[in-house]
Order: sequence, then structure tokens, then C-alpha cells
Amino acid sequence: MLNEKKTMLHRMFGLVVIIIAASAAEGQLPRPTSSSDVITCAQATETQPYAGTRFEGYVSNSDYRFSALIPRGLTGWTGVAERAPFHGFSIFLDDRMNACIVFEIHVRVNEEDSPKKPASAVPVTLGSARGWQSVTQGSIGDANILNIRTDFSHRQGDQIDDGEIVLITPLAEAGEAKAVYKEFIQSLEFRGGRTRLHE
Amino acid sequence: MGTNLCYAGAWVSVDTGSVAVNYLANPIDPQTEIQFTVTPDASDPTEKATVKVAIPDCNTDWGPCFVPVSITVQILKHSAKCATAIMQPQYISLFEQMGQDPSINPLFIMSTALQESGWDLAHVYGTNSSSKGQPLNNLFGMTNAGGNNIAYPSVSASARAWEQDWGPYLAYNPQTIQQYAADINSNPTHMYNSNPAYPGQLAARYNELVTATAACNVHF
Repeated sequence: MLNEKKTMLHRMFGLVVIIIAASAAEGQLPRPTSSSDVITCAQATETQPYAGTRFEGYVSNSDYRFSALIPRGLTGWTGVAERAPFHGFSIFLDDRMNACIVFEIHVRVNEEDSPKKPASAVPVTLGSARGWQSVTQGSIGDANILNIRTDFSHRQGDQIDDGEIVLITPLAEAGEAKAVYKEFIQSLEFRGGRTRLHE
Repeated sequence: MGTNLCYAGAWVSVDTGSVAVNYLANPIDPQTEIQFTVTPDASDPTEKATVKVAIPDCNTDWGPCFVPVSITVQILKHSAKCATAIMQPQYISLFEQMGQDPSINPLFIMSTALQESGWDLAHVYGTNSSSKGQPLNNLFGMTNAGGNNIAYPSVSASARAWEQDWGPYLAYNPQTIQQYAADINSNPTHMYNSNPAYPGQLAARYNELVTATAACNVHF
């Protein structure tokens, strides 16, 4: 009897943890702000489809201590040489390269380089990384564009990594693109601690 | 401007026109600071200053007694940077060697390492799942096909690997950090970094290193 109660409590506790974790990752998208600062895929990255290393499905990196799932049917491209440093990848959502997700990550060099939170941004948690999300929309030429930007920082020991995941999409096709972006963000998880061997 | 010196528990900081001497022992009796005497001229960042510090050496019934010590310190700008890993002689000499063939300003190459690994050389002293508990020794964050950072047997091995991969793109001896950044990204099928912000970031690192190396008396 006591064991049954314990099991039930464990299950309930597990369910609560799952619900809390899901809520933290999902969050609510902030209200979009109109801005002339919206960018296109070509402005966000010099990566071209089929350039560099390709990633599909599950991706993990031990140096930046993250894992993610590239949504089914899509490919992430590094756009760089085989032995170049890893700084993320770009996922193109259409053939015209008008819609994309650009994931970038790097070691923070100076404290003053830390990301600056816009007033309209809402907090986001990606495992042990913390950040915020902001939404802007605007026009470039006659194209109406939506940008969703998730900035994050991840501390692992005395090293801090900063990065961003940016969705760029024509406003008219934003619905499906936002769903893919959300799926990718929800799969992205950073884990704590790593070893640094001192000189 | 500032400098610091750790000596027998005393920490000396220098700012334009003033010097503070802090005694690190805890608890500290504020009265004892009065006994530190300092005679530097901090107005010239290249000048060496003589700092006379009275170091407590024993305890008596009526309090600590002091032994005066004279220390000569170099006044340095951004002294915090001088103590970072990337500014240490073994790395400075490595960048210097790398700059000899092809002939490239070693600060350009050093800027690349700083941008990738930071002042504390995260990819040199860090470990990952591929390094079997050993330091990565990876000065430039090089990878195998976008995977984990490669673990090298030594830092000089990572320097040689970097030269093999990127040396051919620098054969025209870039004269500016902008040319250098353009050269390592010149082949669309062999780019170094596809972030449009990278050339600007590299130039910022170069400027920081010009300042830091001058202040830390590092010369190539």
C-alpha cells in the first residue's frame, strides 16, 4: 500500500516536472515590434545550402554542451571548411532562401560583449542556458519580413558561451516557419559543467 | 590605467596620479595601511615605479610589527590582460613562429585564437568527450567536420595543423587585419567563418591585442 502511494507520488512529481519544463521552454512569444532593423537570410549568414558540413536529425556538441533536433526533412549547413571552428549552422526553410533559421554560438571574449536584452524581450530557458526572445517585423523593399530572435548565454565553469537562434521569414509564410522554429527551440538543450585543466 | 603586484600579501594598484596599496591578510586593521609608504609617479604608463611597502612580519603584544620592503613594479595598462593565458610567453613565441612563414603579422593569427578561444584559451585548456580527460590543446577551435573540437597532443601540433589548412590562403601576405579576414574566407568552399559579422569581430580582437601587447610589453 505504502509502495503504491510512493509510486503514485513519484509519477505525479514527474508529471509536474515535465509540465514545468515544457512551460519554461515554450514561453509566450513577445508582441512583435515594428523595426527597420529586420534582416534577410542573406544578411544573417553567408552560408549557402550544400556548403560545408550537413546536419540532420539529432545534433550534439561536447564543447558547447548542447543537443538539438533538426526538424524532420530539414538540413543544417555549417557553410565552412571541414576543419573550421564550429559556430552553429543554418537551416533553409525554402528553395528561394527567403526563410531560414540561423543558429550561432561562440565563446564570449570580453564581458562587455554579452548580449543586451531589448525592453520588449521575454525570458527563455534552454536547459541550463538562459536568454530571451524578441520579435520584430518590417519591410525590406516590398517584402514584409518577420524576425524572431532568441539570444542566450550559457555558463560552463569559467567559460561563458553566447549565441542566438534567428528565424527569418516572409510574413506571409510565417505560420509554418514559426512552427518549425518553435520545434527546434524546444529541442535545444544546454547542459551544465565541464572540465578545464589549468596550466 | 592600472597595475597590480602580489608580493608577500600586498597588492598594489596604480591609477593615473594615485597608487593604492592593499594588504590582503584578513582581518585587516585599517590602521596598518597608514604604515604603507608609496613613492611612484603613475602619470607615465611606461615608467617603472618603486613602491615601498611595510609588510607585517610578526606579532607583538601591542600589535603587528612591520618590515619595510622596497619593490620595483612596471606600471601597466590593462594589467588584467597581461595575466591571461593567451599573453603568456609560450603562446606569444608560438604566434611569432607562425607569423614567419608565410610572413604574416603574428597579431593577425593571435586575433584568430583570441576570437575562438578567448583570453583564457578555452579550447586549449578545456576538455570534451573526445579528449579522454586531457586538455584539448586546440588553439583555434579546429574541428572534424563541424563536430567536437579536435584534441591535439600539443598546442604546437594544433598550430601546425592550422597552418596546413589556412596557410595557403595567406600566401599573399595580408597587410591589414581586414585583408587577413578576407583571405581566410576567400574560398567559398573553404570558408573560415560564415558569419557576416566575423571580419568586424576579428578587427576588434586585433585592436584589443595591439593595446594589450603594448601595455604588457610584448613585442614580436
